[in-house]
Amino acid sequence: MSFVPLQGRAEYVPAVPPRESQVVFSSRPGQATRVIRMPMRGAIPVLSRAMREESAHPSVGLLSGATMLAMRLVAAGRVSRGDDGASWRAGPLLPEDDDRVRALAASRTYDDLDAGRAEQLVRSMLDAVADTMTRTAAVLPSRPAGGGAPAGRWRDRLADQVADDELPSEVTLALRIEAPEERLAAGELVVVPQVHDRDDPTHFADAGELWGVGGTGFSRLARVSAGVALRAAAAAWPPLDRLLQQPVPDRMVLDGDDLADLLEHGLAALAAAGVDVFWPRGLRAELSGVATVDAAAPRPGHHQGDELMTGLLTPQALFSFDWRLAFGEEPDDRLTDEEMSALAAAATPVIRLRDQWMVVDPVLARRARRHLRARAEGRATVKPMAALQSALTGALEVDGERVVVHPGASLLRLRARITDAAGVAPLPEPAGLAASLRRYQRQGFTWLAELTGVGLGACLADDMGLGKTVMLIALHLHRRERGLAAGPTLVVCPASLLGNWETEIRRFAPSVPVRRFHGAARELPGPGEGAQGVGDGFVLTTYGTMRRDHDRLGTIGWDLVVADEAQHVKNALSSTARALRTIASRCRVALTGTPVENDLTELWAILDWATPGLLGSRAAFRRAWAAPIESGADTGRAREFAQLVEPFLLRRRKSDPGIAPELPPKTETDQVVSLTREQVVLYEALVRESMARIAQADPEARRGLVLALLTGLKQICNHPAHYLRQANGRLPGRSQKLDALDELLGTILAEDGAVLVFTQYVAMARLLERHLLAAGIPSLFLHGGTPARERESMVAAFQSGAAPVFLLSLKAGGTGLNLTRADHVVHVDRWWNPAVEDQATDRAHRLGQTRPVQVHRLVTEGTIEQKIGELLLRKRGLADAVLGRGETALTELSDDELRDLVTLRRVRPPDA
Amino acid sequence: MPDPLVLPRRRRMRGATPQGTWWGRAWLRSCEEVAAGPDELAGARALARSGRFGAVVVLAGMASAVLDPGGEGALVAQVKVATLTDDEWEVVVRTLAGRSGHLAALETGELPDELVAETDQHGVELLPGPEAITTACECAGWAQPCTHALALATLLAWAMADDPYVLLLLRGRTRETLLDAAAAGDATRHAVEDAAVRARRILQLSDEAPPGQGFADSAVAAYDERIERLL
Repeated sequence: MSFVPLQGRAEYVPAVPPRESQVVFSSRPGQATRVIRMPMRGAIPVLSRAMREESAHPSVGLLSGATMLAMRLVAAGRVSRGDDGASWRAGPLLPEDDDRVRALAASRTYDDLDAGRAEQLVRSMLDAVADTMTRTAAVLPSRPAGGGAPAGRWRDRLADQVADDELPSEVTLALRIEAPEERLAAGELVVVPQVHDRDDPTHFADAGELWGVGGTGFSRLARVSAGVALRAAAAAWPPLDRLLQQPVPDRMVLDGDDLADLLEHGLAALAAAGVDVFWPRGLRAELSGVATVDAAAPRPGHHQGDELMTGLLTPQALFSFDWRLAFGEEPDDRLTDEEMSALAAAATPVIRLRDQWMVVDPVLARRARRHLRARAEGRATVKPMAALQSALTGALEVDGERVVVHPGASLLRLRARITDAAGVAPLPEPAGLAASLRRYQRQGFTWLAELTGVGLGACLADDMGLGKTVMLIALHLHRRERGLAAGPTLVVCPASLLGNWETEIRRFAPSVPVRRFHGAARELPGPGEGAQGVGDGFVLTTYGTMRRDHDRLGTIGWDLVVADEAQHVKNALSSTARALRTIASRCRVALTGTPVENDLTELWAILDWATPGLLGSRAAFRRAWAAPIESGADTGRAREFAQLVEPFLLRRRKSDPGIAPELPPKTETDQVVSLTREQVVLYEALVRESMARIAQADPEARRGLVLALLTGLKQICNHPAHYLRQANGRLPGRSQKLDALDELLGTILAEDGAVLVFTQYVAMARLLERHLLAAGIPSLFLHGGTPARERESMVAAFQSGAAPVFLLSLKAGGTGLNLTRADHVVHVDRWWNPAVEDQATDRAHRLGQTRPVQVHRLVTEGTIEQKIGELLLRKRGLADAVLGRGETALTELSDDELRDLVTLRRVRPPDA
Repeated sequence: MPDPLVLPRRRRMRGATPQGTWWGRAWLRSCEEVAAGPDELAGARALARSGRFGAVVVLAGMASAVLDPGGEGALVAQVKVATLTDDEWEVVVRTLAGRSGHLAALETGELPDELVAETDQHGVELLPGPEAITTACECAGWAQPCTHALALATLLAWAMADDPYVLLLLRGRTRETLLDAAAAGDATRHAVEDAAVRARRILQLSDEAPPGQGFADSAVAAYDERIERLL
């Protein structure tokens, strides 16, 4: 309070309402002129002490005396409502009060002021003090949060004598936070409830005003509605209950604890209850956490480069994690160490940062404390996979919270290498590769080499037929030629694919040893076999064998473990998947032809095997990724997730631009499968018996016997139930042709493809039809006996996509059938006549076919099927001559030649 | 005479009896205190649940209802409650005004226990004791309360669980009268009393006002500030 002159004359300036009166103090004549005009609130303190000032001017004495007299009246409760109802006046006055007024007026006349006018002045002053004192009891000065004229038109309406019941009585509640400097210094704030007209939220007033004498623009009943609204708000945030304990819920002070609770729980609860909270501009600090993750400083003696790259991701490596709060994006916006400490040390959410009061979310303050403690204890680190994750997604989950992460220099280099892996200049083909890779295959092989080169796993999910096997063989050779590998490569695949792997490895990498770890007498490479043995080559095994024998497999120091058809381990809880995880290796590659990227849990299972830890634990993955993405609520999360997994997943489709032109219009592959034990027994018995009878038969009977033998063997190769004529016999587990067909169908259906399945035998086709029905795969079946009209409708149904599988058993190949919807053709058994086979294949591969067609021939290993197949390949000319006339030509072979052809070549023990 | 409060007929109740409130139970205890025994209480409750009562009409100090006792003709049962005097209501209204939460609680269907406790301190019992309740019935039974009157009291207990104003009306005032009183009188009284407290404090302080005129005098500045805060 500045110096107020009391020796000069003081003038009282009355006003309506009385509380808006003023007192003008002035300095004594002769001194430098000072005039101070004060409202009642400022004048009352001065006048209340001026009584004791003997040198005061009589006018000051008069006003001072009136002030004290008024104060006594107020203290005695002798105030009443003014005639306007909106202000207060002193009184009613008792006779002795009147006496006092007159005595005061008489004692302090001065200059031209006589007792009568002095008395008038005193009475007016009494009202001004009474109104000031009483009015402030319930009514706070209106300070609308939104600015602008406070409910101006409502006050105007009030002046027009609007009846109370025409004013709004139903209100909603909002809370206004006020921050007087002295409260801030104490770590406190003030909350003022504000009511809004339910029908017109722009009309509002402080709730406390409703308890006043009117003039709020709200009905008197609005206070009931306000109380109810306040009660609901207090149910949402209990500290507000203190307002309900007050006679007038005008304002309450929030201490540090209240404030922390408000920020942490209250705001959300109040928002849910529909209560807005208005903060003064600039008070709430808009801080967010940013973190920097980087490799710990390289140890002396280590140079940067590939070695560091590889070392970066060893399980022992640790990354420094520096988290701090920031006001914005700029480096200067980040809090300094001192500011972080100040924030962490603050006992209340109100702190002074950069010359400004700020209210800091207690959750952030707590995290600042936690991080500072962790840093002090040297725990501010993250594991390599988490660091990698943060580098790829730009975010990291720390203590259940996602924070924005800036990767450091080493992580940026690593990230660049990983994300560029699919696009870098392709590596040269390995010298040992006996094949010429197509461009996209070189790219895929390079991608595999890059990822495995930094110790990460990969999932190659190219469409079937794009040559995943040969890319993998190239990777095997590459790692050896670059000296990166130590130990053999283990391929785990379905049993029906073992033959294929072996054939392809022998064909594309003839120098690499291959061994099957399968069957009863399975053995692993001994230590003595070294680089010349299989110790540096391929070991092939099945998922079943691997599951039973993972202990033994786990003792080998594998360089690379490959899971082919990796959808077999998509259920991470299955015993197969768990067994696979126990087999350690330098790196892992998953191959799959079915799209896995659409099922997050399956994708997790496969990628978590290939690169353990990248996606976090199953539960963490569900919480952090799967749940938010599957709920569809957060598209940002889905994008982050794509950034995270994209580098580890390569999927090219046959239809992708640049790939289709590279593909031949038709590719033919032999699917080599083994005979089951049952098939072997049947096969050998039939050969033994038939050969004995053939040797003794006359030429005419011999012919028939040979043909019967050939037919029987082919049926056994197809399925025991086929040969034994068990139309309703058990089907699964008795023929690998069936397993291989299942594998193929799984992939083809997943690609949304369609397939023609040919067999010479109607009986076999019926078995397959039954099998497909049991598996729930819709199929059509056409054979020689199908009436022409039905044929047409079946073809139309297949072409329109009604069923993805079309079984055909047609000797003549069904001329005229146009089945171009199929992009796969499976020959369950061999025709032994390439021309017939081609005719059948051409049902799909003909004019109107836009996609490349893949032909799969199921061939049983070591049987007559395979031998004739080899004959067809090796001695094309001879084969044409011999087989040009079909099977009858075979009847002309000598006994020895025939025996050679039909005897089962035992390449290894039959299946257990 | 204000409009009566009409509680619509309750259909026959199945399943659990509605969850009571503490004031509803207190009311029922007062009614039951003179009842003969547990059998009668159980009978009254069963009757209240039976759906045989018509609408209950509640007036200041009284509630009555017609029921079909089965067999005989219709009966009228009645529960009378001693109303509070105007002075006693004055206490209630003042207490209501003492905390803005009280009225809000009533409006949301809750009788605040502090309201009952605070009026009790001024010698006003919002919850009627047994002596404040009398019952009457047209039935042939000679003992009061009879099962019919007790059943009516039970219906009233359930009604006041949803709406405590039922209890206040039985004590003499409607919700509208209370709201009016709360909306008018209390603010004036509160404002006057509050101003008086502060004025007394200012008078005390001014007795010890520091001399001087505030020439950089911190004592004077502090005094002015203290007074201003009391305005």
